[in-house]
Amino acid sequence: MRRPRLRTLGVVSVCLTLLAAGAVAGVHWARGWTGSVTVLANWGGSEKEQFERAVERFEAEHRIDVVYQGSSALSQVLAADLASGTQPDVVVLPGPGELTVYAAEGRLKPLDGLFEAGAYDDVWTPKVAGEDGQKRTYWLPVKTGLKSMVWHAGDLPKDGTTGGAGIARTAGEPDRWCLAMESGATSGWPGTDWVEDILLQQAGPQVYEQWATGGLSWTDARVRKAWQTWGEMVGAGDRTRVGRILKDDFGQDCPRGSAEHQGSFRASHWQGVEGDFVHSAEVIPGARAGSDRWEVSGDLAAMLNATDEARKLIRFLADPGTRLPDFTVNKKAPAPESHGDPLKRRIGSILRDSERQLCWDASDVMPPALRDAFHQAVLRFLVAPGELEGRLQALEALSDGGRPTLPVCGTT
Amino acid sequence: MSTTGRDLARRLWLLLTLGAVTTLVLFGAYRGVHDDTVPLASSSTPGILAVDTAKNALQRAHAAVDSNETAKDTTGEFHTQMSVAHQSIAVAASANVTGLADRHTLQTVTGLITVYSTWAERAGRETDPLLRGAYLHYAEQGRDDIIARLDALRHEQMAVAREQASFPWPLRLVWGAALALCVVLCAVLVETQRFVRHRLRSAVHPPLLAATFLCASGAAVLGWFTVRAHAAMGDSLAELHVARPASEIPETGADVKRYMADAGFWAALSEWVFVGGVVLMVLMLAGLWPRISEYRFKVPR
Repeated sequence: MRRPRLRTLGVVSVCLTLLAAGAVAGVHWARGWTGSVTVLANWGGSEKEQFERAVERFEAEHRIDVVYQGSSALSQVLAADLASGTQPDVVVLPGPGELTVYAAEGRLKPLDGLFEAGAYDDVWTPKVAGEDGQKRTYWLPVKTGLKSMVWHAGDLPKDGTTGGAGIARTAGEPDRWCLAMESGATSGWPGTDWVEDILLQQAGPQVYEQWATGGLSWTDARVRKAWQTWGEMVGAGDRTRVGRILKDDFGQDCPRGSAEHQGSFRASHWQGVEGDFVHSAEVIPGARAGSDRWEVSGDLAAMLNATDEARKLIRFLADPGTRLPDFTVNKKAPAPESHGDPLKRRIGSILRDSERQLCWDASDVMPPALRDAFHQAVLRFLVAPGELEGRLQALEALSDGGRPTLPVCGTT
Repeated sequence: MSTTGRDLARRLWLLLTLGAVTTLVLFGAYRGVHDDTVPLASSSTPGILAVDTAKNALQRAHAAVDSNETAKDTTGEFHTQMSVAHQSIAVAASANVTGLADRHTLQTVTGLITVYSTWAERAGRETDPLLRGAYLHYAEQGRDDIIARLDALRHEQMAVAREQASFPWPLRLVWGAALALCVVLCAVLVETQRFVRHRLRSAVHPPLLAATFLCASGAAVLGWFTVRAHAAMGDSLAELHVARPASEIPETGADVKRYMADAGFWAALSEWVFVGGVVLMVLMLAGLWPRISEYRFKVPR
């Protein structure tokens, strides 16, 4: 057999080298990103992990790197980013208030055409006015939550007939409320949720909507009554107790036998003690009969830079097949009845039940300055409930002036 | 029939090929190390030290507002430290050590510093001890969040700096190949010198001797600068390894600057590798081409 010539060996070696280099380059190309999309939201901990898990499929399918930053100081970070022109491509804000302002300033890019218009009810994706006054869709609910809920451990009977303290009796004892105000930049929001919900349950959705959109004075008797009711329920002015409440983290563990007025995001915590929830109207003094009024929240994704990558991410988030963190209100997504967890099934059903009146968390609808002042007022009210009138007048002074309006309450 | 002309031509082609390949490989090997010296000196180091400065400034600012000495007005110190923190974040952002994620983190930190500052100032103005305590607590939570993010960012910046200062096996392989090629080139040059002297009975060929000297000395100089650069990067990395307190940061910066003082010069030499390669090949041609030409004209006769 003839031995190969040196030149042949040389040519073969060069070819093999080129092939290997090509293969390495190919693998590198296949593994590399074709682009990136920056996302700013306020999720941390498990919520952040859930979102990152949800977008893993997007990253793998489109080879687009999703660069996520989460911060409780979302408003401040976003304002600084916008001022310096280095805004993220997509922002996820809790509630439509701030987004409405940004849409009117022309900061947001319209999402019309990126997802099926009928997939969400108007309360979640209303058309709002842009810089040119034309109404368009500017946000998409990525994650929604139910409020107006009072959580309690499973061994706490609802009516107190079994000898133990029932939920209604528990609610009448300030010490039994599990309450905490600390939440970084937005410390105080658990208190604003309380006041809003009490007003909703006592005065009804119409008054609530008027107040949330600036049509009803903060010094109105119904608003004052809501504050006072809350103060009595949780023992505002008790300095020892309030000192603790102010510093406690809103995500803290609640002692057994206590009750907590918090949203659906606390489901996993209360499930640990076989917990359950009742509608807040059942425990709020002076609440109107019926439990068809629910306060809701929503993390809304909006586009600040209309890049291809950002558009693809919005389409992905609106895809009914995308497994987003609980709870989706995409009507094309699997029905909540198919949820394996009975508690989550119940919450999901309420959020998508067309018979219910759902109202946005009022502070999430307010302009940022008023919302922040509301948080502050709540903290101060807990310490000095006697100064309520002054606080309400200060809030009313801030509330003056025109603001973009959007529907606060609606049925799904 | 004499084969001298053909042998000379063959040697010339071999030398030119070896010269070109050696130049390319040496260029690649040199750039592989020195491409990272300037970014380490001018970007990573200032970026890392700016993050340390921001952290220290925040801690000092908080110490100023957390002071129990209510009679002492510490607002001036607080604002000074906040200003230092903001400026340091701006420096870290301009250093852009880790790219997009880095910028995104720093923008978030800027927002968090604003929130921290707001809570701290509210605490300073508050007369009710309960609310003052709560505001300070919120400020502390904010500060801890900022510091955790800055620590994570520093960790990523250090990973980039470590990569810049590293001497991975592919680079070692390229350097091994470059040095081996230099040795082979020098050996072929010496052998050609001997061949020419033996066949043409001439004395030393200056162009070939100069080419040999250029190859040997060029490889030695580049190798030496590479060893120095690698050592300087190692020393710089050791300085940056631990987060420094505020008092040590200027000294650390000065030390790294001293180690990496010649980084720009070392890196600039890479372009001269090509010039050296061209000179090398010109010298080879100058040494052998006239002899080959002599034989070319002799053959037809």
